[in-house]
Amino acid sequence: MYKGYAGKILRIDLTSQKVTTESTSQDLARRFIGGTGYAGHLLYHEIPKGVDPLGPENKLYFCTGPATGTVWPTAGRMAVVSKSPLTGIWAESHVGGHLGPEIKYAGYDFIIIGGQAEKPTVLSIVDEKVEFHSGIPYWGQKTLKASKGLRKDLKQQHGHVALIGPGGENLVKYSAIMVDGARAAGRTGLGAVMGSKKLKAIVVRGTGSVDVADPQRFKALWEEGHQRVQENPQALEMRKYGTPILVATKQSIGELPTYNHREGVYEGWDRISAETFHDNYYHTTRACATCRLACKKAFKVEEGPYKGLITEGPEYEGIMAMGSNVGIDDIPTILQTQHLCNEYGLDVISAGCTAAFLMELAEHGLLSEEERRELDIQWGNKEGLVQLIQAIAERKGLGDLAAEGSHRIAKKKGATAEPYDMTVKGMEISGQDGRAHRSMALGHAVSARGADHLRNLVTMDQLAYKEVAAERFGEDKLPEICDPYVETHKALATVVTEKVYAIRDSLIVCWYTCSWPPIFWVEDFAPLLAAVTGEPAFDSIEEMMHIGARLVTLKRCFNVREGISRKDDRLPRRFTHEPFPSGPSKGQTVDLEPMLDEYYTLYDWDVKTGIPTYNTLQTLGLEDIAKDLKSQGVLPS
Amino acid sequence: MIPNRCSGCRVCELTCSEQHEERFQPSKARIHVLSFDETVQDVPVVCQQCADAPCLEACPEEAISRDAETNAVVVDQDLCIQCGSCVSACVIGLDAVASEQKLAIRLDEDTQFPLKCDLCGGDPQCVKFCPTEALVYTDNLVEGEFGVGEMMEALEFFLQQKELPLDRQGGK
Repeated sequence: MYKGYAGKILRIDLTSQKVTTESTSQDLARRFIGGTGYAGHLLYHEIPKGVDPLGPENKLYFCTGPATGTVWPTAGRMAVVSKSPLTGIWAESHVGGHLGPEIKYAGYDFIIIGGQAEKPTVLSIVDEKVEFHSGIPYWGQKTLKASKGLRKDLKQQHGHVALIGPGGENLVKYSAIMVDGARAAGRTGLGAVMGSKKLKAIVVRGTGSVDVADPQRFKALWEEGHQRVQENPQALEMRKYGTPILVATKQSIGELPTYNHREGVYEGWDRISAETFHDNYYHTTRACATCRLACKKAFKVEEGPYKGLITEGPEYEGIMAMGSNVGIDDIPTILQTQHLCNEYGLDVISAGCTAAFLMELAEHGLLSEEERRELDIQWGNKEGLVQLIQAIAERKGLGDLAAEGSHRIAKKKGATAEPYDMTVKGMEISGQDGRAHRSMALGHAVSARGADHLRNLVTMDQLAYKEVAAERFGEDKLPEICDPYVETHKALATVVTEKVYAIRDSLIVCWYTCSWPPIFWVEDFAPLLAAVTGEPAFDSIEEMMHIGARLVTLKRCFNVREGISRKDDRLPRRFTHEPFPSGPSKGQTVDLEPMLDEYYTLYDWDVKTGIPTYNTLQTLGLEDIAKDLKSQGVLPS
Repeated sequence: MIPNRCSGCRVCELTCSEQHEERFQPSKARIHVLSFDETVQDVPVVCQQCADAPCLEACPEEAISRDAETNAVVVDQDLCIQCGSCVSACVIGLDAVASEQKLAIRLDEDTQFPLKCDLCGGDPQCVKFCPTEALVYTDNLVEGEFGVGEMMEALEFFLQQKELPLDRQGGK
């Protein structure tokens, strides 16, 4: 087996309490690297079409990659892959903290959880030793208390914990898996998958090592890598303010989701800006393992109803979801709602965006008297939002409906509610808006997990990195490629970016440093992977891009088998037909179809259906999948 | 060591283990970070090379000595009999003689030799690569820096899974 990998996969079946290990396959590592790539291959072959995401047949794949656990800057992250209860398709969410490296030190590349326990269960994994404990004492507990109690009770003070809160226990469709307090594998409802398995927590402690193939070459690479992060001006700004810095950026380009995406500018933006957070509420800075960027900021509230509250975060996305998008400009309320999402284990984006959707429904008189009875849901109502978040986690009253997510609510309410349903493939849209950022319009429409900003977001047009854009895509693509308001060349930028990010997610390294700011790219990942694994074939940009295309297509195929095609690569009507009423993006809408045509063409997928062809799958080394999809009759002729 | 600068990234643990073990293995690092999730604080714990080093005094074989050049308290493995007296004597060690604990000195589970900071022969890698300058290499304590007493206290809170009180985090 290559170096860099732990070399083993741990499988746990909760129904039978059977624990097995198998060797990580060098052949699969060569084809899919690791992380969400390798797990994608396993998911495709182990979760047949139509499996209930909340049934015992679904599995949770806790993934690391060959870089995880080394000192490469931002190699401290991990991912969880499954089938999503929110969307019914590909589920993937990444999380920082220290759990990913700990899994590697414990000796595993992946931990795969299947089956369903009868009673609440806790898993303890200490190197080779795997134990089942009762989860009953912790069931119902919020995440901070439970993770602390578990470490103490299991005498694993140095262990790291992945767990769910009441949100996951109550099967909220967008509940999160939380790691060590405030880190979340938030999107796609992975917490509900864990909750359906009655698995409260996994506690991991590892004392082993990660060894690399070429220590000298790797040392030179990581030293230079750390240096580059250290000297990058945008990275320094991130280190001071964290991602809240994006509030001002988005406001300035007219892309700050406001009132359920009705507007792209928010009148109260400067009251929720990074400077306001930093100057009035800053507490401490926290980094994920090996990260020099340290974007996580903790804030403290000194007065008012939430006096004494200390919480990690929010990110820009949380400020958008619990702030501008619901018309709230009060930082303590944003901190409290963020904190509740962490404590209950909810995805802050879907929770906040579902709240915004309900507020717009309320405005148009589309909530019934009964639905409005217990909670006062309207734009800017701070207490109402706090109460709604609690009600969602506990599935009480209107919260029970809200726990199903915007798309299910819209379907239930019918045609009058649908124009306000801001989801793609059933997942709430993150804090971008394609009308002000055309590459993102395409990205939201085609991403494997629905409205996703992390698998293909191009920062070149959004933030006008002209020199980088010229280097990556060619001088001849300027100026259009850096113009956020035109569709031209955006499919190219999205496809290239998506392939590189697929490599990133298989290594696994963080979104930051290779996206915003653009410090590392595929030319850095190729030698990194070669030095860590010892496989010289990885030391080629061409090969990396080929693998990248394979990984993106693989995820697409999982969705295609579940019925996804071009008809589902849609945006909400608001993005394509409702021009921004004000701000720098005033009058803009998205022309999606030409970008879709170009996107499928660049991947050699069938343009009419958006489904990969047999030949393309063969070229990408996915013949097994080609045969499977052909036998099911879903491949274009 | 200035905890209010520490981000808990543990680059120190990895550079330490790379330097001494030629692999990435934080369980064998000579420095460890204690994380307090509720109050969001991180405290690195490492040997302070005490002036009146109890580990040096306690060693029955005179295997521990002070390096004249770097002032580090170092272990000579040729003389060491792996008895653990040094670990028991260390004040940043409580009473726990367990390799699992994040102590300033402890016995390597595999070799039973003491693992302790040797200042990397005068160029400590953890200080060199610390992203936030939370680790400093000076003769005297600087403002906000934790000494042996504060480190002991942090370790006690951590092992009991109690949150470190906010007023202990050192000067801003």
